[in-house]
Amino acid sequence: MRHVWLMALLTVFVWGCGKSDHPGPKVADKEPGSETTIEPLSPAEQFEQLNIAYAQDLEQAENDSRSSPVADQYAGKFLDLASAHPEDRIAYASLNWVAMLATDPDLQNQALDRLVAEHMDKEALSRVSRVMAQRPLSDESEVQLTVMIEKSPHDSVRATATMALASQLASIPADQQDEARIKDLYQSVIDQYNSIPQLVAAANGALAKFRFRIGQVAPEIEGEDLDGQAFKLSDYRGKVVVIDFWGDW
Amino acid sequence: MYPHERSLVKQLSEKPFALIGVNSDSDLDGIREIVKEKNITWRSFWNGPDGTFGPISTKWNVSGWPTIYVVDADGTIRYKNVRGPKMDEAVTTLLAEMGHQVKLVHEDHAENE
Repeated sequence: MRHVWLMALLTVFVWGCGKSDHPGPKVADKEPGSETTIEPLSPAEQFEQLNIAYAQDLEQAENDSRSSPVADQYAGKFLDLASAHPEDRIAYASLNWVAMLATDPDLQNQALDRLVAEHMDKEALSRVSRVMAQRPLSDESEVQLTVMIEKSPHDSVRATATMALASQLASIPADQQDEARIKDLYQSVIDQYNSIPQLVAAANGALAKFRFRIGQVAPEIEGEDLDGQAFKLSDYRGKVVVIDFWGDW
Repeated sequence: MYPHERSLVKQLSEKPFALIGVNSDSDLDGIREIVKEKNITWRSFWNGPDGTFGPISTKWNVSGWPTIYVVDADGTIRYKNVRGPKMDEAVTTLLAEMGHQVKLVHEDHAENE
């Protein structure tokens, strides 16, 4: 009970302070006809303010263990901010915010479509495409990533977009995949972007997985048995072979 | 697991069939003991002293144990991670493709071993 009273007092106190410290837009004179001076927030300040409000809402939602997608409720405001200041650097930041944080694919696509249409010069798009690699394939994402691959002036963007498109294409059921196309995409990363060794390694790893798929010829195994006797998997050609990777632990 | 595989190996001893292990224990002496102790009747490659990080499992992208591949007579991978009745089904299907009709019957002996 005491606790509740304290909280109430504190709330009133904070509210009171807020009132005196932040009077909102300054209105010098309310008389009709007279000039009203309002200091509008800069685009960067608006972005900051939205972000703070979002963070507070997010925290509240977590405290209430609500699972509603808070970011989606702010996405519209960030999209509007980008529209209102297309030339400001905040436009990219706002679209990037929605593309990365929104959970609704429609909202993501609104932001992504505009990013590829209006911000193809940005190298930071490589971060967006890296996140896209984890998302499911859609008609929209296929176009967005293809545009990045074809139009970006940055190696890092083209390479990450290529990886993202390949992994999206590889995320649908195996029997519906265009395997040749996926392999070509991974191969193009290996061939074209040796300046980005992490991606080349990832592309090599992804290609290796295709070699162990149903329908592929099993690669050779050469080794020794537990008594040190050398033998090969191909010694068993002509037989049905169960290969069992096992351990006794 | 061992009893089922042992039964499979035994019943198909006259058929064009092999069960090949890739053992990923790092302690070779230890696993030799286990093979004797648990009557493991089939041949295994040894994945080397690096155990689960050995060269064969690495090349095959194996990250979970056990991992099963079933390969047909042409060496084509036809099934993955089939166990128990599913493994029997895979093997009998592939043998049937080669003209060998087999019916697998496993005694319920798993508890005794």
